[in-house]
Amino acid sequence: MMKIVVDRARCTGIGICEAIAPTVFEVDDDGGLVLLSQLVPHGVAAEVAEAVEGCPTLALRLEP
Amino acid sequence: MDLNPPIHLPDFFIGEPAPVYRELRKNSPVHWTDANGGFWGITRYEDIKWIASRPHLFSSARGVLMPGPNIDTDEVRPMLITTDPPRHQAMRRIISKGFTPRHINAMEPGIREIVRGALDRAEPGVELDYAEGIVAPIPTRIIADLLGAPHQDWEQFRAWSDASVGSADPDITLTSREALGILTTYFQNLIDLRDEVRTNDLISILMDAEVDGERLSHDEVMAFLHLLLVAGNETTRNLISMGTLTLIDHPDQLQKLIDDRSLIPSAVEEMLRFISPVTHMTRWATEDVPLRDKVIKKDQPVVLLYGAANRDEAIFGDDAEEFDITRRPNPHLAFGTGQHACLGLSLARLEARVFFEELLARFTRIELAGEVLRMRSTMVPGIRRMHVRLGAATTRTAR
Repeated sequence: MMKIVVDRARCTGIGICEAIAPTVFEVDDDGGLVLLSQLVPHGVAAEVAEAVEGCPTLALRLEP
Repeated sequence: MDLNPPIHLPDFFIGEPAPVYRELRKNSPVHWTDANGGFWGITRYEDIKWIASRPHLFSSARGVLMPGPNIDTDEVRPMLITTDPPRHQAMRRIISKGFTPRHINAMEPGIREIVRGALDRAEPGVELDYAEGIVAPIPTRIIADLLGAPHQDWEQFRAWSDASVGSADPDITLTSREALGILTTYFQNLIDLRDEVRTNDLISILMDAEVDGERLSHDEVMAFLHLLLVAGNETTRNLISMGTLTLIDHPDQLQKLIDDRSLIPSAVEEMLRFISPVTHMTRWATEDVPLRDKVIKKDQPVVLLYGAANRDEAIFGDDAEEFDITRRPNPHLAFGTGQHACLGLSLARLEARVFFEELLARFTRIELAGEVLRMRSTMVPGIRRMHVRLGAATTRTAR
């Protein structure tokens, strides 16, 4: 199962990932990205992949 | 092909840029033009992504507008959009918490009310200036509300915002410098009011914000406010007006959307891709950078042509130049990319979605009723006037 990794130095907390996969990503009130799941949950792999691919600051990646 | 397409002129952008973009992507993807002191035009998707994600090689600090006669690159205001890392990241975090999907989604009822109010002005079968009369007031009201400007100032706001970006347009009598001056005075009044009592709008957030333990400078707060106003206004307005025009030009797609309104979010993405309301952003090379068969020299401007990238066959396939409201995936660069990607993208998407939901719930015949008058701008070449007749569905006969 793939693990989601956030590069905090790159993330600007804009929440594009949250818009694509809200069950996995959430930007809190301070603009910090919260992972609601460390691993890619079953059933939303495509959304998570799209969120990783779609991050404009390249702050997200998947690791085995 | 014309080896020197006038990619520095408003007329190029309000004309038919797509064939030129296609030629450039194919034959000169890293294209030098001598106009306006000289700059590089970048047209391939992959190259734009590469440049935009390397702010240390390609700086925003000397301005993001393409070089032009009215553009002063020696005196760039310290805006978020013209700030490089590491300060950019810290400044962006201050404001991005106001623009997360959750915060933006909470605005939906208010936005729907503003949209409904605007559409109330349209009567079935009666010709009206759709761009100016219905669409234009909507984003201004939303962004002015977000900033904390009183409602009675909304229309003034729009005029100043227009003037501050559309200086090439002969209809606008204020110069952009004059408009900026007026806006500065206006914002100063709002700030003075909040010196006494803080409210919970963006102006108050900015006044209290700290970067590295220091408050933002007065100029930074001012520039922030101006940026948010301009960025949130013209762009969304043009997305909606030009999106409507694109639907009128593609009756099969319009019908598909009328028949299945759940396609609206996907149609909005396709409008963003197809129209690319913001034509470009510029970066300045901080050192010599080889790219494809060219070398971008230190201190040369590099213009990222988003409209060209958004038609790139290598990404969007053989039908890249078709308008297809069901396109998926649709990884367009209409909001830019990299750390300067549009902060307001969730808001823009929401405004456009709510607008088309409300429009198509009321009207299913949308017809042009006259010429379309474009805005003469190289960056946001939108629509100033577009007369349209809207009609309800009841009289539509089977196709």
